[in-house]
Amino acid sequence: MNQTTHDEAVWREADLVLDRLLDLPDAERDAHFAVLELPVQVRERAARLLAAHRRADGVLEQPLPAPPAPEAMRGRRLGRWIIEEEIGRGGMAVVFRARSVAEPVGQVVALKLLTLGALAGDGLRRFREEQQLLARLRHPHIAALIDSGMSDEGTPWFAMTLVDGQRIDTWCQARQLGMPARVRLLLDVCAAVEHAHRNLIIHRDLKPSNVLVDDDGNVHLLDFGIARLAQVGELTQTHKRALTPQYAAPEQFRGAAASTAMDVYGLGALLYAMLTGAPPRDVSAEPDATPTLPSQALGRVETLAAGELARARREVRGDLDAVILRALASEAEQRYPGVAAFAADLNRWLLGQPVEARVPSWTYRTRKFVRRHRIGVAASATIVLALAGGVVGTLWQAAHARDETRHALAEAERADAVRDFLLDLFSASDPEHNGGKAPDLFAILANGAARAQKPEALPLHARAELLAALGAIYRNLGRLKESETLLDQAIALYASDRGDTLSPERYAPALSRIPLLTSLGRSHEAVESARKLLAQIRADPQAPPVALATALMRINDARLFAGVGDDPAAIDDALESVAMARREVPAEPESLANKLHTLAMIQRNQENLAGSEAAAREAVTIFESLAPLGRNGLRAAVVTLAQTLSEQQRHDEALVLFERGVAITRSLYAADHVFVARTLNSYASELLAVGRFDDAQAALNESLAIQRKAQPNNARLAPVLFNLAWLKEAQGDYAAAKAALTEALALQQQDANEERLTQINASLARVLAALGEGESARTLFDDVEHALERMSGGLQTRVRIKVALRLAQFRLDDAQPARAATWLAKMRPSLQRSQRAMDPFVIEATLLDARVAQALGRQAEFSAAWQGALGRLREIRPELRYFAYEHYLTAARFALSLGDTGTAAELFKLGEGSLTAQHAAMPRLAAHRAELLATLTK
Amino acid sequence: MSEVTDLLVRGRSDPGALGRVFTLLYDELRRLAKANVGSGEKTLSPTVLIHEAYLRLLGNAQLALNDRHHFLACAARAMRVIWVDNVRRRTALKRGGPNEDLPLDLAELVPAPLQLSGELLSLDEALNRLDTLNSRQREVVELRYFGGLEFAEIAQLLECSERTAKREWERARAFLYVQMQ
Repeated sequence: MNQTTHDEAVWREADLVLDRLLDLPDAERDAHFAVLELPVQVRERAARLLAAHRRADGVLEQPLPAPPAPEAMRGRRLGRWIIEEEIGRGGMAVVFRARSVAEPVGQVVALKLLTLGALAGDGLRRFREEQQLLARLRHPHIAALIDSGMSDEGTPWFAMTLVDGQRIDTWCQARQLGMPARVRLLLDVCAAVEHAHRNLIIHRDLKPSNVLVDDDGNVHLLDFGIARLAQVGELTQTHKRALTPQYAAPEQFRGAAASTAMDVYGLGALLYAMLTGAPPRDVSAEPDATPTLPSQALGRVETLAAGELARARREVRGDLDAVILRALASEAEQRYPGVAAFAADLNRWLLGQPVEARVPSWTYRTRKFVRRHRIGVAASATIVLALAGGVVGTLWQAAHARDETRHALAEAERADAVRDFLLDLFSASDPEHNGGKAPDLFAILANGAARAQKPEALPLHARAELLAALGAIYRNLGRLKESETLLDQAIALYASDRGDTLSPERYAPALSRIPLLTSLGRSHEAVESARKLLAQIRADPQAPPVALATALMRINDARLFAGVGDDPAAIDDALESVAMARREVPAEPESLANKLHTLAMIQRNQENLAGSEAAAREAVTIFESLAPLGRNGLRAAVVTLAQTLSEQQRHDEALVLFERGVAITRSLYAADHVFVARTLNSYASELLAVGRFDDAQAALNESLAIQRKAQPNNARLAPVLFNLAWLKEAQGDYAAAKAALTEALALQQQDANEERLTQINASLARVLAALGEGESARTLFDDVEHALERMSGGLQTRVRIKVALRLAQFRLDDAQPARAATWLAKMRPSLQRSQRAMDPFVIEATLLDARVAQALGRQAEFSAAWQGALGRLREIRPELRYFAYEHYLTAARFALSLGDTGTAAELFKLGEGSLTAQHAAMPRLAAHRAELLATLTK
Repeated sequence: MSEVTDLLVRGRSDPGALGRVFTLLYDELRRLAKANVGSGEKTLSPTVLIHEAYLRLLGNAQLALNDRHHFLACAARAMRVIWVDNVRRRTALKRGGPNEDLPLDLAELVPAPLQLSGELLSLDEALNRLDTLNSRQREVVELRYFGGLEFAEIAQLLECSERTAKREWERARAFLYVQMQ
């Protein structure tokens, strides 16, 4: 055996001896060793091993040594820079302050040394390419790349502008900035990121520590492109190092390729942190977890005064929450398509305009709903699954089976909740189903309806509830015929109920039927139905309070649509319904808001504009606080408020609200939904009032197109046609006006709404007169007169007054001043009650008074009326003169006819000041103006 | 399947494949070690580095025990090589061309006391000696000292009891101490 192998053999033997000795407790080892029979060499080595084993100062006793101290870098030269001092370090780099020692000398930069290892071969080339891209990135808010290079050993480094500033989140907190100011600051960051994206550079590592703000409030974005270069970064640190990035998009964890969507996420997370003081995700959270709503996370980290916190919550809640959450969507496709879109929505929020952030996906809303109604997880899971699978009937049974042993009221509550859940789920039907994830609504509903109709499917109450719920859903979806069928079936079922306990839901389908009838254009029937139902409920001692409250609201809605909103009972019913809603326990804000809205409409109808505005505002506020739910209610309330403001000649405010109403409607409903048509029509009315004829034309065209497709040959088309006719008349296209009004008349006759019919007739008659068809005009005006006389309550509503004014005007023009005088007298009491600052009706009436009196030779009356009219015309505020332009012309012409050129000139001048292109485009007015101009400048 | 998983499977019969695994690990761990520069801690945890390399190269892949053994063995060996090479460089022994030069920071990796670097060299040599006598003991030392594995893990990999794994460590430790005297 050779030397080596012998040596090895000895060692092995010694090792085995040690092994045997280690079996013994330490105290016995020496003794035992002493008595072992061993070869000399083996004994010798074994002894050394044993002794070594007892030592604790070997290399292996110490852990692997640590990396170098930072001081090692000071004074080191890289390129033309000398490292001065370390100013920070992160997971993949160390940052130093460095100074240039070659031309240009004396520059001070932040030099970042990447600690990632050498770049071999391809890496070097990529690094150099990257540098060229980054060097081109010049933006006021991006820390400029000044120089870059590699150390001899191949470590990349960058020299960037040294920014003296604070982290953006700390900066905001230190100055206690309000929420809007913080959002504005982020918009600067967005501009920088957008600029980079245009240059095909993605940041990928947006977080507060990468955005500094200097004392002047300028933001500086750091570290562009570094994340891209990094092969290993904070992302792969183990949890032991606790460097889980809380600002990275979920797909970054999965190693996805860089995309602008990652930066959108980053910006969202950054904003979240700026507002709440903490990132959207916990360190240990799953990347896909939904973050807490920003509005709810406010104040947890940053201490805000109580008043400040409440205000910040209000500001952020709803729209801003939605915007941020959209940016933070787990799936990249669900976020904003780019930084520009995100910034645009933030801008909208700042301006108080509606944001585009979609109503959250139905899974989010489901979750929110479940929390709100405390339905058990199992139940809600069943519901969602069942809906997706289309087995609504089965789940209903399951839900009820669980309730068998519960108290009847609790059972009703649960059924309520399930029904509300369905309604909620579908009340804002969005045509843009997320890539097929949401189920096919109509298939499910049809399935559910079919199942519910089978007697063996469910117990009677459950079936009736289901049918009623489905009926309501169909109505919201615009499928009115199906809705009526289902509701009728539900009503019939309840009527046939011979059970011991009556369902507390038994009034629901009948209540739903009322607005349905209105939607179907059968508003007269709706009122009747409502009246009967109300009486029925009042007579039923066991009727649930909510049924009465809802009935009170519904009857008023119906009244308004039927044009009998002036019914004295209406106000009482409306007030009672609101009072009941306020007393509801537990509080149901949405219910109260709906009733306030109805009250607002009634009050407006009855000329109580102040009351209407207050009620509408309250309704709007409540709906806003329910965001992202309650959007449908908000839509309607916003439009009502807008109309109330419009009546008060506060058109600037009204227009903003109308636009908002249209935006909300479009975000809630499909482009061809009748609600879109109706809102557009209301908007068009306002546009006509302020003379934006082109915009009005566009809105009317769209509204008409929708309405014609959805509900052809329906009375609901009439209001749109009416507006269209007004526009055409103003533009001098009498033929088109006549056609529109004729059609409107035919349609309106389906719905026995006396007031509306009369309104259309009056307009038509006027057009006929303009077309020179005197006889027809006269006949029609006679009909109008009879109708007015027939209408109970006299000239109580604005609509009726307007019609009466038209009538009076015609009579005067038709050389029948006495008949005109009669009507002017009739409207006087109502007009005197007018609280409006500038009431065009009052002006028109006073002018007519003067002209009629003059025609009748009643001197005293004439004087008084004429002075009165002049006074009113003179005192109109300049910005409102526009609305009375026509009257200025009429008065001026009248003055001329009296030989009073001076007054005529004065009036003409007052009117001229408010002349607009719209006026000039109205042939009749243009003609009168030209005439006056010619006469007065002679 | 990732490249490494593939290689490990092939490595069951083809040692060349394991060699490639080692190379990959060497690159990866070197990078990772750099990333731990300046953490403020006095000591470096190889556990962390290897765990990270595992994640990076294998992701969520579940390896057969044998493959896992190979991987970790390679990792531990790579760590040993990295450290030792470093020390060698520092003491002015160059290896290879520019591309294989170790990066700046790692050159500073080992601080004073200088003795330690000398000791690491000795350790390296001693380990080589141990390997000729008892390969398993050498492996245990690598896995534990350079790989940062716990005895339980080592036992699992070597398919022996934890007590045995500990004992192997004790024996190896004694031998190495003697060797380095």
